[in-house]
Amino acid sequence: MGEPRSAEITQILQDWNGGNADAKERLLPFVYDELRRQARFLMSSERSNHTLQPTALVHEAFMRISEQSGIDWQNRGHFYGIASRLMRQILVDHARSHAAVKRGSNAVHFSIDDVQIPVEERAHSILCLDEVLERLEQFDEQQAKIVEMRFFGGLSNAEIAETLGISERTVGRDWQTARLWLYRELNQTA
Amino acid sequence: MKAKTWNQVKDILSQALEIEPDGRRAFLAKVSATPEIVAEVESLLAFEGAAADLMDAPAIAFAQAFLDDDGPDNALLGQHIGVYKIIGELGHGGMGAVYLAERDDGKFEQRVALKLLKRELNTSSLRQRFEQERQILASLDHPNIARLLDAGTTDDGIPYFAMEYIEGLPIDVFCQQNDLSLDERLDLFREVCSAVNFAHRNLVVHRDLKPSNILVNHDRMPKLLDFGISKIISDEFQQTATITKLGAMTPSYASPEQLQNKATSTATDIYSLGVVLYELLSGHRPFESREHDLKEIYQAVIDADPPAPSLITGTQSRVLPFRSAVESDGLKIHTDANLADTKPNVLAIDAQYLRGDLDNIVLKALKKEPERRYSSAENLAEDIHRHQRGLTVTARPDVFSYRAAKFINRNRTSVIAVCLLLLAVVAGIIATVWQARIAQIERDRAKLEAEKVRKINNYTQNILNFSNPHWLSSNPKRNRDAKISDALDEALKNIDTDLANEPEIQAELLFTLGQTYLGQGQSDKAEKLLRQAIEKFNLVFGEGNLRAMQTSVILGDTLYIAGKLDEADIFYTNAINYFRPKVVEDTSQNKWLAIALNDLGNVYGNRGKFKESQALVRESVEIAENITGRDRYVLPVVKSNLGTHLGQTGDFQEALKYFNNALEDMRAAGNEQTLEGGSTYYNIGRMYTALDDYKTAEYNYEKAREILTNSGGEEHFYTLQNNLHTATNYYKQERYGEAKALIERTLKIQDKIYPNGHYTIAFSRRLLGSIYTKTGLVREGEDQIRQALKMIFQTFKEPNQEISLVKTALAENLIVQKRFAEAKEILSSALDGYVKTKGEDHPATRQCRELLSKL
Repeated sequence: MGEPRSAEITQILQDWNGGNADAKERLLPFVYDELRRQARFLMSSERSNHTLQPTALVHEAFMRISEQSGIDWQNRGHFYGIASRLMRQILVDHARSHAAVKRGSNAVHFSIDDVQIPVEERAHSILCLDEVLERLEQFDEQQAKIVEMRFFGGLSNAEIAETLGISERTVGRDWQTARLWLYRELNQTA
Repeated sequence: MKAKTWNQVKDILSQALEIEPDGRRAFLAKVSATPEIVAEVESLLAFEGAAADLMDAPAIAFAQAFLDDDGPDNALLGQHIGVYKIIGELGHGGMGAVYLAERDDGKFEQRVALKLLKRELNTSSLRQRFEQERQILASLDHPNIARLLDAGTTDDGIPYFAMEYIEGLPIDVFCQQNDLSLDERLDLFREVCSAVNFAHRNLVVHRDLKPSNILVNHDRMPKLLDFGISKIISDEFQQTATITKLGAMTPSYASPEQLQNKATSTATDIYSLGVVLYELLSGHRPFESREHDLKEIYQAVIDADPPAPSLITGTQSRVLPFRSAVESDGLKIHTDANLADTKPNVLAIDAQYLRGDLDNIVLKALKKEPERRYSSAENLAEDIHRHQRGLTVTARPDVFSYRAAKFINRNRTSVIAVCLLLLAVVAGIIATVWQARIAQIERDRAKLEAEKVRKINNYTQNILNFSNPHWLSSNPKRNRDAKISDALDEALKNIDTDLANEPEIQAELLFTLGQTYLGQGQSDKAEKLLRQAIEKFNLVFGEGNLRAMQTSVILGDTLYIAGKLDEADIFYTNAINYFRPKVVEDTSQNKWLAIALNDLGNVYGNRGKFKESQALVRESVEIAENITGRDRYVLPVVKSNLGTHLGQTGDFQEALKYFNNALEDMRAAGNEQTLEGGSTYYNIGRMYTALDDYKTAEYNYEKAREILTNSGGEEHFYTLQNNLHTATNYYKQERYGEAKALIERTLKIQDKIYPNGHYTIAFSRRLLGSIYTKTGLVREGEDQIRQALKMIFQTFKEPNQEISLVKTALAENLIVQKRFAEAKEILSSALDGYVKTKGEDHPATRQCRELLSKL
């Protein structure tokens, strides 16, 4: 990240802290870049058996952006919310490019234990989830947000609760019920 | 769906989910909602089981495969690389992609896994390295190692290597799917060890052992992949890759030295084998709970003691396990197995089978210090095999003294380390209190025990608070710098307040903390706590109870070490009087009787009463002969000690018989390479020194040194004792230079570890003084010997052979100075001591008398 961009981010963050809601939208491309950079950085390196943690990734991005901008974030929760949205965007973008060369079945999988799932099916699964999640958003925006933060952002219930200003219990209940609904819808979609 | 409808559905659904499945029908019948809503709830409830794993791992782990932009290059399909034709893709990962290929030069049919490295890994030095190593790797011909068949570069310069293509499952998945029994798993694992051992003997280290690199095929044959590859690559990219590695992996299988970028060796593989075994037994990795944070897992691998597998087996994962799709670099993703219906923790073996031997074996492989692990994969396998056959294993649990010493050695210990030690202390107590009770006590009593455990938990929390800089502290700096001793002191302070009305738990804690202090060499504190423990045990169980008596033996040792022989005598005698009548009725406590007799024997020995000491230790041996099971480790120890006491009265041949006998026992039990084994060797050496057979003596000291430095380190008491005896052996051969160098080195260590003086320092100074006397430094000699004499009186009272020995040395020095009158006086009192302790016939007595007669 070059100097000019860093200055730009600082300005945006100051605007945001100053209550300018629009600043959040302007910040997105930078956070996206940073996350994407981080993700690629991590992807390209040697892996061990149990590897990548989105939380680590998001934290890392958070740290870098805070360091470079010198902003003292009052609420790291805001950042998590944004980062989760962006992680989703990044994954969906990638999935789209890989699903293009789709072959094999159209089954939807999300069990990570199954090492058998080919790349294309994984990509396809992510796209399906994105689609179904959009439908959930239409009648329960908060619940969709919870799923997004947990699955894409890798955040804990406590972190989600803090970000959204709701109780951890509500997060837990929404997550449980959302999974049932998503599961049913995903299977019908597939 | 409308938001309002969904809210109702969600609400009822959440309530239903909290009810046991049996009661849901009744609940839904009563609920006030439209039939449509109830139907929707029912429809969703049906997916409860199926959706349980949905999205249980974060998206990015799942999506790793396609996040990698340098992903599979389908364009390669059908292409030729070297003599191979690519026919499919097996997967891809961090280092590159792996393809299924077949030989295409018409010579013979062969399927291979072709691994293409990433372009950026293509450097000339790496290619060179590959060229060098290729021969060695290709010659690794073992049925359990996937052969490296070929290596080279493609036309456009991408390094590749071809490996034997293995169809199989990662070993953990295999064990899980085939529901292997404990024994079957251990058999399988031993095969893995033998393959690793084979490679090690050919000087090839793996460096990246993990379940996904250990495939098991249909014939239940384990095959190790990627041998030697990781080392080449990581050596090559160590500098640049460090940061990358830090960022990328959860170093679950990496050894502490790998994470610290220190030199790696075969011991690195032993560590990784330990992690794999840990996982195959418990279903968890040692620091799994800390894998969510890279810094934490690094810290843990480097600093924290892993929990024993038995403590963690079968517990719910705290971090949901996920296996990423491409972790295996593709080589492993080619079976028809369907893993979808495997459940978490099917791997876990019941704790009762792990407790003891297997815990010890795994933890030994996982030692932080490479030299304290098994010295070879073969030894690891052998120990497992011993366990399988019901023999004693060589792995021993860390004693508190070791752990404490480890912490003390580091001035500033990490917060985590302090916590872990205390947790270990308290966990141990919880485990004993809890298990011992649960077994015999009815249900309602169990509730009471649960309450006790809760109190202990609270207590632990407070200790943890002390050492956690983030928690509730007015002075975080102090906490970060907390030493183990500070934490222990703090722990002590709170025993009375936090555990009021729980004298039994207080007593157990005092007992454990007392032992910990003893291990730290703080015998004054240990003494205080152990005395309190006895008091509290007596309060709870009445005078003369088992726990109080066991504590008495430990207190006796504490007093003995502090040189308070008379008080030690009282506690040993009490314990002996308690245990002796029970010797037949309750054999489970015979270990304690044997120890108390043996140790009391030592007290008598130090007083020069060898007849009594020999009788006591003989009784100890007799009792130990009949001990069976784990406690039998006592037998060779007391046999060896009997040898020592026999040697004191000049029965060297008889003594040698017992020493050799003890060694045989240890060898049979695989315990020869221990502190006890080492000290037995030097005791044998001493006998030969006394018999003037210095060559044989030297051989035995050498043997002792080897074992003791390995098992106890340079600064261990026994190692220092062995130094003293070895130097004495040199001295007797008039090899003064060697004797002086060794004893000076020893004294340096002793002065460091015993800042307040110690009788063994007196022994060393006495010898150094004698060396000075012989080499012309007479004044310096006298000075050393007089210092020794002063120090030795702090511990021993006359008559005492050690005092006589120092006095004789002083007399010899005075004779050289021609101060005959003084010499004569000193020598007479030395002779008196010898006569009273060793008797007329002992060589030391005779030599002393001879010297005196010359004056």
